[in-house]
Amino acid sequence: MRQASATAHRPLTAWLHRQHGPVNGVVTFDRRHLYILPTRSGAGFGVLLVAMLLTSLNYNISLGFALTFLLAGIGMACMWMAYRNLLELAVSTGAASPAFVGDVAVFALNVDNADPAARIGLEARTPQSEVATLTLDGDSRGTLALRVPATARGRLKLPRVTFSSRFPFGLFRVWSYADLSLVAFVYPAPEPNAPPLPQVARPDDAEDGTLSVASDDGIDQLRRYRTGDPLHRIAWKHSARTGRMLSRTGSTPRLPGCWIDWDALPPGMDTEARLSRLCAWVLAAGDEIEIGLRLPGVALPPAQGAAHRRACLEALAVWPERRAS
Amino acid sequence: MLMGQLALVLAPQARSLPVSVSLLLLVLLAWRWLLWRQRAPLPSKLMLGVSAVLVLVTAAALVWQSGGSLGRELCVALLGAFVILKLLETRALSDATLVTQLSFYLLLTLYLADQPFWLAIYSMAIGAWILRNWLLLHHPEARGRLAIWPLLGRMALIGLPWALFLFVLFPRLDHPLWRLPQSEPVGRTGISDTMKPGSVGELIRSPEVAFRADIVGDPLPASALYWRALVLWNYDGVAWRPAEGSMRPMRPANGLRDEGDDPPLPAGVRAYNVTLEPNQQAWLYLLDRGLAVSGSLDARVSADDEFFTRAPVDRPLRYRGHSTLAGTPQPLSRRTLALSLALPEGNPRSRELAGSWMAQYPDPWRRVQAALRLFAGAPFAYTLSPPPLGKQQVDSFLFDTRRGFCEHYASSFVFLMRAAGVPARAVMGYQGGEYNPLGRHYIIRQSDAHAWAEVWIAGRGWVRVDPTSAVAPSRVEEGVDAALSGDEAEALRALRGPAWLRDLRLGLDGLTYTWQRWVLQYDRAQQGRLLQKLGMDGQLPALLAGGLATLSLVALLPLWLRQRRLDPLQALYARFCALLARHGCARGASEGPADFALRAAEALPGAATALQAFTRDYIALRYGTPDAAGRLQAMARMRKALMLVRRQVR
Repeated sequence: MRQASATAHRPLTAWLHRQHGPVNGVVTFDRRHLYILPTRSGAGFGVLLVAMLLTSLNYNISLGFALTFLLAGIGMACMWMAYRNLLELAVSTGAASPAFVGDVAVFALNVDNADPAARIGLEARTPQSEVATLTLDGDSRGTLALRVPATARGRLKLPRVTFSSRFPFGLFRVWSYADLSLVAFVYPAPEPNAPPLPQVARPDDAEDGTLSVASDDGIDQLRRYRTGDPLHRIAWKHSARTGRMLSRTGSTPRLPGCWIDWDALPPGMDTEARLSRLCAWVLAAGDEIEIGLRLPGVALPPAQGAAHRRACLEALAVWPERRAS
Repeated sequence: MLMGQLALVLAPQARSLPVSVSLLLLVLLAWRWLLWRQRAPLPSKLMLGVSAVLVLVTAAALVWQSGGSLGRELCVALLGAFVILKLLETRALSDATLVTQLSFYLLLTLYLADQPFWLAIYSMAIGAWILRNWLLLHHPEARGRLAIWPLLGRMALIGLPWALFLFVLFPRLDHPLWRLPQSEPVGRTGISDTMKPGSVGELIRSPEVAFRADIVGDPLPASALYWRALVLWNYDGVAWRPAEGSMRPMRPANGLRDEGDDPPLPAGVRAYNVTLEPNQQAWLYLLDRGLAVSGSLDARVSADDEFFTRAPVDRPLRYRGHSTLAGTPQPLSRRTLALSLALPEGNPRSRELAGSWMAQYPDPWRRVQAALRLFAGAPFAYTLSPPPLGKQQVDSFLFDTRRGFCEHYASSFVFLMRAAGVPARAVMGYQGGEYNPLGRHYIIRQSDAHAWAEVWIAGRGWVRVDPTSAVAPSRVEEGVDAALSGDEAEALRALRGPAWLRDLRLGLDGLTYTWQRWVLQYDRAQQGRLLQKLGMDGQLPALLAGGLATLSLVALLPLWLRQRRLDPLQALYARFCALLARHGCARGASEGPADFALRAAEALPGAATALQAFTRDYIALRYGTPDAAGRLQAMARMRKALMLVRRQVR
């Protein structure tokens, strides 16, 4: 008996869980992929209707029958309204924002309502994320942000998203799945209280210890402040020491080859711990310092700026893969 | 929102609840309202527990007071109280949903007492409002984005066919599954089974409707409209009462098929339908002399042609009756004869008068005539406010006061007849009725209550004699108003409202009657008749199943229509693919149109050119940006190409 039910169950679950991938990047909830079941509240409503029916039957209350059956009819209509609330909704992928391990990655989904009727109370969730809700007017589009916790370094694929709605009375839940291909990078968690950036951290700057020192370093590269020098070029520390306003010269920091190197770390260190520290250093470098990243099999030549930093972080995220494409 | 909802749902309940219970519910609601007004936190669990216990104790006290039975009204009140208590601890959405859903049940309980037309309108309006609140409760964001009332209207329209279908065809029960006693057997209205001076007179002032009747065929003259109910045999000097049950055995009444086509009726027999207002009494009113009533009532009839239901009438009751207006000669049994001549001691002067008639007129009918002549004579008058009678009531009336109401005349007439040796009995019922031309029915009000007499004449059987008609012929011909003089008639008319209201009143009455007849009276019997008319007798389950299946299919229709609304280009391409698939060349899931066309051209070389042309146009339309005219032309080309492919692959 159990076996029979199990075999009968399998095709059903298989059918329920079959892929509903995008066509031209868009997942549309057509009637083949919409499922509907009564909710607990819906079951309660059913019980209520039965109670009303029994009362009407017992006392032969014509008006009672009318009320009961009208409510039953409206319940039927609910089913259709619930269904219609998701039907033909088109979902496409938006941006995926990266996250560090332990944070949440945010996946943006564009939801397109080509229907003149509004879509009320759409809910989207993945098994791990909390529910994101959206209400769309007729002929409009909106964005849903799904916050998925990033638990492991690497590429975080957007899991299957369940779209559901309990409109209008919460009696029925209509749902559908969307298997969208959207990937967010999960960077290693930056090591807390990491040692200062290597090479840049000089003993004479130990008072500060960290990167702000690095960005301020190199007296031979200093010159007198000229009006028009940007604020971040002013060498505040030296200015304070010497009593003259000094600016740093050149478009790059003085240390061009600040390599953040895997092999420079103590040999006994565990892989993830290494990556965490490297990550902390990449972040510590900020926009000011030119850094290069060297991992076994991967080398990113020194550069600076947001794009470069992201490339470094992605390389850390996917290592030992070669390239974060 | 929920509070107002509950208040509105419970308000009409006050009609049938004791004042104390209504007050308790009101206090609970007011409590909740105050908390809301002052944005105070909801009461603690302890407080709620205490209130719940308080409610239960009150209920128990009421049960004890009513003699240990938990009445229907009390059950409803308890439910109402607990729903309000639930509201007092409502924090989550699910609680609010529960309260909302239970509101519907409370709405239903409003119909337990009665189901007037206004209540139907009222409850439907409240129901719509509850639905609206329910929607906003779940989707506050819908406010402003959605036209809620039109949406609900649309849902009601979708639901209406189901509702109508189920209402008409859902099987009804003949007998209730359970019965909760009603807390008080009060509310008996209409005539009672005891006739004494003043018992009819006090009904006269009530304009309440006793029942409505529509008579099949030509209207009857007012003088034939004697709605007979009870026969009274026993006189104790003050009051007339029915004979003990053992004296007048009952038998099942002749059953009629409820409505529909009567077989041709014998001469003098009339058919009619009566819709009786609930009066908590167990007898039926039939035109004098009743022959049969609806079989579905399972009524019983006494030897005196009184008709009784099995249980007191506690809801509007519709039945069909057959009556003969001609009268049927019946023999008089020895037992009945004794009963119909029995008299208590007293009233010597009346006995003396009757004795003189007996000596003077050997023919009993002449004695009847003599009595009627007496009443028609000068000092006798018909009045609503008769002077009080002395101890010897009949003597006092006949020889002293000589002013009275129908029960005075009926009572003294039967006394005189029995004293004169003519078998006689008193009868209670209604006489006359207002004809409503709009609904083509008679409205019989409490004010039409009447008492008259029957005497037994050899060869003719029991003959109806109305002594009141001797003293005030207009009472019978035109009703009470006409029979009364001056001030009394004025007072009565004032009670009924001005004349211009009459039409409105009659219109409303017609509505009520139709309402009762088609909505409230819809029961198993009517359902059966309807099915009979449709020729579907006894096929209820099949009809129900078939209808539900049809409705479900119709409900799926919009889905179908949506599917059909596919982009025509896509639809055309889908047909193209389906055609090639039939000929052994199915398109792979990830195969582009161009690749597919190449492969298909190889597999079906006969149609290669046409299908390549089709695909070219398809790609151009699908991925290009053609203008409208170009699009139409290309579509036309594609259709032709598709036809060509179809021919070539064959």
